[in-house]
Amino acid sequence: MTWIWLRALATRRTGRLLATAAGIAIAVALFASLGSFLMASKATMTERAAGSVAVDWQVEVKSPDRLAEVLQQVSATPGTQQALPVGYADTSGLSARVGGTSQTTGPGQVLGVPRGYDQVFPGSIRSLAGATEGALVAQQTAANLHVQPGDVVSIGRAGLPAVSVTVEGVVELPQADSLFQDVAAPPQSQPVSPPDNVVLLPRAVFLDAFRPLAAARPDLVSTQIHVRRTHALPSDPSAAFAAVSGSARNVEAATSGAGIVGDNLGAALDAAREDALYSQVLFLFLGAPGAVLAAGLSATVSASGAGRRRREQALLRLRGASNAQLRRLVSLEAVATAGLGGLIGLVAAVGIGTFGLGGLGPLGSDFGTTVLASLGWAGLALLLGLDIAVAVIWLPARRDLKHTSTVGALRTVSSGARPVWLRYGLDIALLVAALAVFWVTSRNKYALVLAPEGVQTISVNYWAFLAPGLGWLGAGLLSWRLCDVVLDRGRRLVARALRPAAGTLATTASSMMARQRRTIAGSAVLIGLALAFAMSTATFNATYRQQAEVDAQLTNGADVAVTESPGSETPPAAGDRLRSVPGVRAVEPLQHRYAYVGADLQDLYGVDARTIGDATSLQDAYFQGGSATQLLSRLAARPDSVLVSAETVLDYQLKTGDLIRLRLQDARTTTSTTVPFHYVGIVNEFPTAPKDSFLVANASYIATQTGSDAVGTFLVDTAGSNSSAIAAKVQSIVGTDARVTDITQSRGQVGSSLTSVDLSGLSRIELLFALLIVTASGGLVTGLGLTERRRSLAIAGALGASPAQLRRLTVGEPAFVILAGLLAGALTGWGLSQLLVKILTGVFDPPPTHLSVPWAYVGVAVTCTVLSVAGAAALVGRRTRMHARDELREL
Amino acid sequence: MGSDRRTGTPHPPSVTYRRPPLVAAVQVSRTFGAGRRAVVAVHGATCTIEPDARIAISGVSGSGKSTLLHLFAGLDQPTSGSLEWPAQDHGGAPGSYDVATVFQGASLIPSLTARENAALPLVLQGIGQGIAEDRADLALTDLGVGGFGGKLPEELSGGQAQRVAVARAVATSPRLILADEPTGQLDHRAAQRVVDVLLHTADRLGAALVVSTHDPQVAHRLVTPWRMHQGRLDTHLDEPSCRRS
Repeated sequence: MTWIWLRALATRRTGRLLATAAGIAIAVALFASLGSFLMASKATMTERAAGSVAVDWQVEVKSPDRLAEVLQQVSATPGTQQALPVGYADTSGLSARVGGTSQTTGPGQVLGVPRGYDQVFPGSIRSLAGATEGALVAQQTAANLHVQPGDVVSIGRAGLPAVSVTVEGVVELPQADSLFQDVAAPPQSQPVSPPDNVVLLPRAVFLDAFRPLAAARPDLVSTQIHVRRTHALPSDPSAAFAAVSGSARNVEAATSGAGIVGDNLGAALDAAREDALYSQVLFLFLGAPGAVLAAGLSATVSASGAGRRRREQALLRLRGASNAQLRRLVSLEAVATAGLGGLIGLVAAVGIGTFGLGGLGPLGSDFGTTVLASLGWAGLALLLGLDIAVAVIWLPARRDLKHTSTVGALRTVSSGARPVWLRYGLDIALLVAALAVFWVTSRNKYALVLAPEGVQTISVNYWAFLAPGLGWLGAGLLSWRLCDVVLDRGRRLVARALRPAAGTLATTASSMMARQRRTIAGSAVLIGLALAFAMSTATFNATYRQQAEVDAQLTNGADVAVTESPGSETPPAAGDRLRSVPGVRAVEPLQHRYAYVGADLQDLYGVDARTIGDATSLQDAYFQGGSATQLLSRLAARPDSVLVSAETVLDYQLKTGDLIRLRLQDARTTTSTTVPFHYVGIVNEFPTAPKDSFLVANASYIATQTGSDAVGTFLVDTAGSNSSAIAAKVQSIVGTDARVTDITQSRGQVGSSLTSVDLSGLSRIELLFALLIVTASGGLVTGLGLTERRRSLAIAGALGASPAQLRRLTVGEPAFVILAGLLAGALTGWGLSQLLVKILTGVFDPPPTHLSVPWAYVGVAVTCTVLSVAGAAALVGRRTRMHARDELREL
Repeated sequence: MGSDRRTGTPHPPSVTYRRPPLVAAVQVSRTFGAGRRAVVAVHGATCTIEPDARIAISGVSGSGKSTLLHLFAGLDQPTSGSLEWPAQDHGGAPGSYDVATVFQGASLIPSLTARENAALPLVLQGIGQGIAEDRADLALTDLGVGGFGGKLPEELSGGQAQRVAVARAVATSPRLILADEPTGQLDHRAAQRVVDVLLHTADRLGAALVVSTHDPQVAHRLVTPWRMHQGRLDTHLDEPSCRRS
């Protein structure tokens, strides 16, 4: 009997079996793909974090006598690949005589680097001019001293005569912050910025030059051991962080405090583990609804055939089958469907990974995911498929066997009793609860991811998941309720709406729809939720991209930024030579000064308020109390206007029009001078400005008051294209006098800091599956629902209904499903998008003021819905006409 | 001149003109499937159904009765032979206005009430919903199920559902009523009532009535007995033929 049942299932119920399996396959494929993506993403984060560090450890040797011992200990520590001693010495100042003029600098640092250092630590030193070995000066130092390779620099030593070296090359130190960190100091006590004046000497030269100073002033000379560690780390950033920081602590313990480890690698992994948790959160937020929807799709497909299954079971019971036998048959059906769906899902996931996402499949290991981990995800996905099959096939069938009589099971239309949840208003309760939870969580300004710096434990505020979860469910159930009400109590309204298409059959069609309202409402809700999923995911992704671009623009200032060396006196007219570079659309000079507001030192930016918007994007969100245009107009209206950060306004209780006296350095006298300004508005963000307090004023006024129109940065607009190539051309023009950066680099920095999650990969998976679910929901559910009514249509045909009349009888159902689904999807999608962006606000930097809706994608999703529903209806209608005789033979 | 089997009284003389037959079949066959699995349901049936015919088709299950009725109704097409409806203006397959069929099994649309089911053929003919439902109510009352108009098919017993199906057939005032085992699920009394209604309606409308049945008592109440055996139709059981004239 079992074999006969299975064979019949495969041959007679092929469509339904495949449709249910398709729902399971989508869930399995989505879960496996997302799981693999998560694993790969975490591995990428670890890889990127490790790759971003040039010197993994800087071990400060506290006692020069124990250098050899510490070096030996560090070298012997498992995971250490290379360890080199580097000398550090404070210089009282540098001087050079070039072209008949003498240039001097303030205090600085001299490093003694061993031969081959730049090969052991690639990325630590970047050559700009001359040789890579010998005495090297940092780019800013070279600019300060006006030296180039071949010139002689004198290095001051406290209490000793200066030593002279010939400059062999000019270099950039990309990781100067960590290179000159105070190893033993906590993060809050680190130097604000690296030293401006740096000279690198070969270690032998360094030792000769500074051994006497070390003897006289040991506090001015020290030694660090720079360590290159293996980057074969656990793929999860948290595990990698634990492993690396554990080793660092082990070295400190083993050397009894003679060596203090500056764990640069650990610090990078520490930041990455926060990103990893964000990616986990995104995975749950964006992936879980997809899996639930796919399960819902299977459930709806299965439920649309539940009546037939009940009748078949009732007939089997009438012919003597026991409940145990029936349970066995249903179990087999569930396992067979889960197996088929799981297999299709895994094959699809591998396909998506291989062809769609560049090796991100569940069995691919391109991004560091181990095959074992991938197999683990595949196993979990299969388990999910089995769970869905049990939930949508086995449990309902078991409930029917337990609670439905044989006669009751033979019924073809469900009883009119309203579901319990509908009677008790569960949908409203869920929505109210969602709003309440959201209000409570957002009121407390919660942090979604809690990652105290340097602390091993890291946690996610999973409480935040509750609001969108409840909201999603509540919106789905409310949509169901509304569909139910419209189809049942609004029958006349539906008939009237159908009249243009159904003509005289409108009343009959609306009556048929009213009696099938549960199935129709289920289809509409599933389509609505699928659309909401697609819309909210797409909107979230688009908003994320929008804000990432905004962040990159803010960080770099413009498409290309030319930052002059501190102390340089580059006039605004220097921008003219940049304007001549092909591809440059606009160039704007941006002054950068420091100003004292009371006792606080703040950055002050001088701009031409009328033209600054030509070279950079200024969003309304950057300002408070008006749009960007309004605030800049206010700034331009009076020469002495100034925009102030909200924090300063609060601290000093400022009101619009208040006089502020700022202390600025006068270039003519090199002393501080008090300059009066009038406060006209609040600025929150500004290109190249720090996140904390700063000021924006008119450049011409600052120049007049301080006697200098020197430009800090030239903002170059390239219309968003060819930024890197144009940046290279600009660099060739300005030489080593200025630092040229383009937005591509900023995008990389932004993407690898807070949200190094490769959201584009996640987006592709999400959006692909969202479309798939939308299409499948529309097509499968409508098609199967109408197939169930094929017999009714055959009867109507036998009673004289023409093909056109049959179409009129059935046109209402797909039309209603499309309309209700689109409406429910649009409203729920809009609400969910708002909620998602609010809850995941930590992902955005800066937070968005408005959502970016990808209308093209939404249009594709809506088109897919309409085409799939209409197509399925047309197909079923055609098949019904073709097989009407077969149906009649059963009458 | 023939005689009425029920009363034995002679038939009235023939009228001066003859209406064309409703159905004319010549060597009609219907085969399902192909090759070795082919099943011949109707094999070379030749007959005519006159406008006032009262025909009972008997035969065992699977003998092809239902298929033959479906062919008469224009719901199916013959595999071979000629099947015509000469009474139709265009000579083609009849519409529901001309032919009403009562099916063997449960043939009500589950999502419509008894009244809506009975009114459906009328609505399909373009009659307004209100008028159609009034006429459906009359037909339901005639069949003794007038009180069940608002019930869904699943809320009716098998007999009640069958009477609703008959009501649906007669509500359109057809010229030919084809009833496939209309009393199969009814007790004797209900069966007799259904036959009464079918005969009464046919008389009232001047329609032909063809009933397939196992029940000899039902068959006995109709004038012309036909028999189906293994797909072959025998129309000469009672002299002279299925024609009453």
